[in-house]
Amino acid sequence: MKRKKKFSVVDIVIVAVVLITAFSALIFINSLGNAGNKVEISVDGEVYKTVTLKTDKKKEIEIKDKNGKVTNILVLENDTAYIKWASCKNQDCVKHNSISKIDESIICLPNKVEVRIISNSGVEDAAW
Amino acid sequence: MRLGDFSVKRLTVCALLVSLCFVFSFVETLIPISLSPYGFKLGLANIVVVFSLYKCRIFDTLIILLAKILISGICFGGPVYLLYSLFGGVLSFLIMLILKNKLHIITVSVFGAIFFNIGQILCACIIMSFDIVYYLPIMVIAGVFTGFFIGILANIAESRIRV
Repeated sequence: MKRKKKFSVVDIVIVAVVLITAFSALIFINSLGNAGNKVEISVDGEVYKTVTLKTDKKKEIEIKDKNGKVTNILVLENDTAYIKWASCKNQDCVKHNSISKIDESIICLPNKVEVRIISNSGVEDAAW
Repeated sequence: MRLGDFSVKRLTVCALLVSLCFVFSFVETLIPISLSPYGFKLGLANIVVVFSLYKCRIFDTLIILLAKILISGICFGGPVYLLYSLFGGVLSFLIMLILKNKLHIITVSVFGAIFFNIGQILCACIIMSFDIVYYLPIMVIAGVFTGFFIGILANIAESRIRV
């Protein structure tokens, strides 16, 4: 079988072009991708509110229970979410680290509040 | 391309290469680190495919490739994985066949790996949702690196082993 014996300039250029194209596409997609991520707040198992994670400035959301009493205060800042204040005793959710990645969640058991990061698309469910 | 008259030698070489594919696929499962959260792997068995592309007939290479996909799909993957690899494998085979005598073996291997991943993603797009297309760049980059590595090994094998 005849074949090329040397790894020539042509090969290097082709591989480099492919790599550069892929890298720029990756950067482009990453700049788009995060914008779609959302925060889903549920109270007592029911979706209370869905908000966009990405905000230009710090944003506070009051989470109320069925009687309209504020139970938790959620803060969105620098594309992450954390709970600033909770009405309950143990304050577990306040101590919880801020969340930003898909499927991370903060749960406040006494108030039955769950804050979860979701995404617009179903990509993350892909079975690789 | 003649399909008939399998000589004993030809048959043995094919069988040997298929079993080598199986061994490589198995060895790969022993490597505990997964290369990334996206779950792509090295594809050591592709050394055999690239090797046979240069050493065997086209028909034999196709047989080896399909046998490799079938065996590793059944033993180490699952039905869905099998479908993905089938799609990717056939696409990469066609691309490698076209580029075979035009480019160096390492570049051919790189393109084989890239189009294997592209084929998988296209298949996933058809099965699941079009959103998976966003994985394309990272899969192409992964393909360049794994393909390069496989190509170096296949190059060594190709230049030293006589079939």
